[in-house]
Amino acid sequence: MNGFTELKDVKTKIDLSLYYLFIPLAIFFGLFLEGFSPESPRETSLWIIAKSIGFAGCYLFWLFVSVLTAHSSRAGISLWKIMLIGSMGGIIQTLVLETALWLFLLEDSVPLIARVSGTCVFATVWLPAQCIATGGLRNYKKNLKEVDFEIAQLEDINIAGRKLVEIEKNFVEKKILGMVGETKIALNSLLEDSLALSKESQLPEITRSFANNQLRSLIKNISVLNSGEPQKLSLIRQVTLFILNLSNVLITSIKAQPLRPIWFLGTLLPTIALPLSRFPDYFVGLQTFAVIAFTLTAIQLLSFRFQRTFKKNQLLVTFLTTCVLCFLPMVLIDLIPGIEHNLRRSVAFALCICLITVFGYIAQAGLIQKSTLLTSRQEVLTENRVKSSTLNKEIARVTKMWAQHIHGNLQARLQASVLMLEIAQKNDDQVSIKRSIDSIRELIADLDSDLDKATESSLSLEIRKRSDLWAGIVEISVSIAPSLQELTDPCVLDIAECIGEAITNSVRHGSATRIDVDIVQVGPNILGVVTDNGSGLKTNRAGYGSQVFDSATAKRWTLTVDPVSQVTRLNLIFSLSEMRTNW
Amino acid sequence: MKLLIVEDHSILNVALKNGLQAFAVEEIQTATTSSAAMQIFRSFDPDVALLDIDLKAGPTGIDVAHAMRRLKPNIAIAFFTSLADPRLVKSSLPALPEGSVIISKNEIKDLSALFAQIEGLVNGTLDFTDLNNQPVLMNLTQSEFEIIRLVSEGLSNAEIANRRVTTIKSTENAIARLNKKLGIPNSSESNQRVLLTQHYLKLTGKN
Repeated sequence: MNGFTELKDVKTKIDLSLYYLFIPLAIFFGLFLEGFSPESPRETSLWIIAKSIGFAGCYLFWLFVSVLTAHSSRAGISLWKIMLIGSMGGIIQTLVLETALWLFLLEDSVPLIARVSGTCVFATVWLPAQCIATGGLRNYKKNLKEVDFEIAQLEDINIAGRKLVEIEKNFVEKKILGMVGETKIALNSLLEDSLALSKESQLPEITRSFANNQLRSLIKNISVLNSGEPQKLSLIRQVTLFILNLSNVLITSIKAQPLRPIWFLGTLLPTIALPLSRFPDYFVGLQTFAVIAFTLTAIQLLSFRFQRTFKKNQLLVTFLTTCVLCFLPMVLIDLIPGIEHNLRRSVAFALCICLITVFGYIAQAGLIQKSTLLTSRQEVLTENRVKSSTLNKEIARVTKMWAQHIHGNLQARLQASVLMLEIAQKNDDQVSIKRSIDSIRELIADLDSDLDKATESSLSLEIRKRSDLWAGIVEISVSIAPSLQELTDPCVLDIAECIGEAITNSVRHGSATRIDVDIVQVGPNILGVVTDNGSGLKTNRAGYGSQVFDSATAKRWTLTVDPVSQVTRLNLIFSLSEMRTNW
Repeated sequence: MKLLIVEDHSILNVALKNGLQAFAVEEIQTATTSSAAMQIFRSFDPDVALLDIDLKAGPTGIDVAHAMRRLKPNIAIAFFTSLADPRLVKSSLPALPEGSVIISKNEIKDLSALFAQIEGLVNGTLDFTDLNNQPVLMNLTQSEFEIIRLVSEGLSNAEIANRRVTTIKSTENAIARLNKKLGIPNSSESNQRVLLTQHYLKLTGKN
């Protein structure tokens, strides 16, 4: 999925769209409250409209860029590309804002060139920093509690995947019983389920994007709020701000540091950059934005915690918490002696943040609800799968019963028919599928079939066939446990194939002159041991032989060379119970 | 000179036996399978063995030759085959026994030429360089031999990759290299896979 598709996908979510709709409205409301002045209503209105439009444009564009860049960082795209995307986004965003302001002929106390360059610096640093932070988070996954959520989901996907494989495994058996339709439905359902889970696993990324949006929009908002009011603060105020800033940094660090150290840095960088644009007194601006940025980071971190167990009554708690957290710093600043008291600005600021946060929560709650629904659906699906599994077991039992009665050529014919069926199914050739199923049914139903009269193949016979080929070239001694000599299980062919391959390897690669084959039963397993006096092999080397062994023994085989006697020993463990149905 | 012919094709076996008897051969015995060859070898004690490489199921002529050498180190061994390279039968075959020669079925025009080479081999007068009797090792890697064989068996790239425990991409690349080495053109008018199979059949003397 690329960034554009992802953006489209995000936009399709109604709850998110509402969130994005309300954010500019909240900003507009905040600005209105802050900038309302009965003396010059026309100018004030223009000012508010300009700032709102500019900011809304910025915000929406930023949203686009952030989604794109967040995707980039998640997708492991190189740093310079992230920087490029972020920088371009930042520059365009700045141009949008400044153009909107310029269109309404609004003057600012800071020269245009300073505003543009400062905002550019801010934007070009901020976006890549966020991206790097998001990307860097991936490296801390093991330590992040919230990522457990993701991991759990991934595990769910794995479970779904495993079940998919299981169902696929039984697919052939089902086909034999003419149950293609039902299996298809089960597979499709599982596939959909897996896809849904895959999407759901991106939920934390989306919520991260939300948080970034909030922080970014608020800092931008404050930038606009303060752009026309360069502050002249006293030393006391600067010290107070510094202490406040430091305490916030500490609080945020305590909360953020173990979880998001890189994000912390991502917040620090724009905090240094942004005041360049809006404050003639750089250090004052720095302190102000440090307070705001770190306070908001703390709020976001709190919001992340709420998201895990979101409930309706937490909305109120969140609202109040945000009010206190946002309002208090501003009031504290305004209460310092010698500073012009601007309660209206503090209220506007606090309300802005509250509204944005609350709308953010509503939107996120929608996602959580969706997640819960998906979980419920998953439970229902799991229940269905259990039922389906019971049915599969019954099918496997019947199939096994058949397998015990079908040997030699009939088995080969059935295998061929099933293969034909698989190919037809792969090509979605309905005619061939029907023909194959008919053929299999006919094969089984026809009591007079010459295949029923096929001679049974025993383990001793099949192994003798293969060892006799090497008679005279190598001395082969075969010892099969009496209980297994007349074994006519379908696994016989697999065992014989492995023994044949082992003999070939011993002669060709080990130059063996004597080979001993021992086959015994150990519990539910058959143990095949092939020893030779050759020069030995590179153990477990991948090749056709090892592939045959892997397939027949489910990778339960070992090849060792005795360092003293130079005897090469191949141990193969065949599971009788599993292999009975492996036909 | 006692000669043992191991050739899975019965008619060719009889024809060779009858034809070579006209030359200075003390006795000729024939076998069509590896096990029969080893049985005869033990009782017959030949001076020279003329073996086909591809004996169908089970051991190849090379496996039989190695077994004979173990029992009789001084036996002269000649492979009589239509294969351009033994690795075309199976890529993981052991090396040819030391001092053995490959006589190409395609290049022998009459039995006297065949006998001359067998006699030269036994007497130690065979000029390997002049007669170009060294194994025809084509400029292909072991994996390329395996791939061309699997392609000719009708396997898809995915099946070949699965069989060789590798990726589809590397199989595709290997086939592309193979086509380049064998000079098979890449044009929309012909199917490279078919051409490759035809080439394989030609190399193995089946076409």
